[in-house]
Amino acid sequence: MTEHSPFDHTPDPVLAEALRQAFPVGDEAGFVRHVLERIRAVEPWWQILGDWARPGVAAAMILTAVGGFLLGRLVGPERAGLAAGEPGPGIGLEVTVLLTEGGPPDVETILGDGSQ
Amino acid sequence: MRNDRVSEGEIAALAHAGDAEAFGELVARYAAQARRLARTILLDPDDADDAAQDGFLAAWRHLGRYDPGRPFGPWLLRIVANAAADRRRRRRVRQTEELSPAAATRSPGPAADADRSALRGAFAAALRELPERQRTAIVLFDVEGYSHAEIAAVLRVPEGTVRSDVFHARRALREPLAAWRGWKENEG
Repeated sequence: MTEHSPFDHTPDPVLAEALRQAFPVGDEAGFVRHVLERIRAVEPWWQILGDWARPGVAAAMILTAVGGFLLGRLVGPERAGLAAGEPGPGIGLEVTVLLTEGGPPDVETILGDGSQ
Repeated sequence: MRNDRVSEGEIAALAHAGDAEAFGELVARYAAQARRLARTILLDPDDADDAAQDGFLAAWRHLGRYDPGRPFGPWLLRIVANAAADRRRRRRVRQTEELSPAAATRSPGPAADADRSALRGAFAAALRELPERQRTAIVLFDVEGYSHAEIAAVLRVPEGTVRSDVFHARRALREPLAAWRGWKENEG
């Protein structure tokens, strides 16, 4: 067996064997399996989004329908007239008059405190 | 295993398209190299395997950056070296690896085992004393068979630095290696 010089530019097989024994790597199949398990555990984000897209859209539609139904129930029939163009309860008579009178409104009516 | 005529570039392209089996092929091809490199850097087998796994995962995520016209090994090992360095920075190495004897494949007797163990211990101690870059360079050159230029790409240093590192590492390991050679000759 000839001794390799440090100047040699070819790999030294004896040194290689000693280094392999110094850094042994066992259970290669187990390592490969672990890596692949980790890869499968971190799917690409678009794939995850794709998987969730259909049930997500369906859930959003159901929630919207249920929310709309509940909102309709909460508001109650007394507000149903708003849809027919009636003024809401927060709108005062003065404003109603302003909107329905044919002529321009009086300045005092607009700037007044509403006591007249 | 796929036909060897299928290039690594083609396998990497399949893996990039989402074929986990194709990537598994690359992992199987480079698992030993990646683990040994990480171990050379971290000197701890558990940390090293974690770092090698991190490296493969990072490679999987960034396969789009791999140039199929170039060899896959240096590109992957560069990532694994980064992962090992990152792991070393993030947490202190739990314990320095006992580089000494793993189980022998055959057992010629207690005296021979003791000789082998002592020689391995001396070699391991010399190896541990090497600067990390020299240790890495000599493993990539003498064990994995990479060229100086490829190792330079992995370690991001000039090619001349790699030549110098390999030379100094070999010189530092000359004595324990000579004893190892003598023992191998006697045994053979």
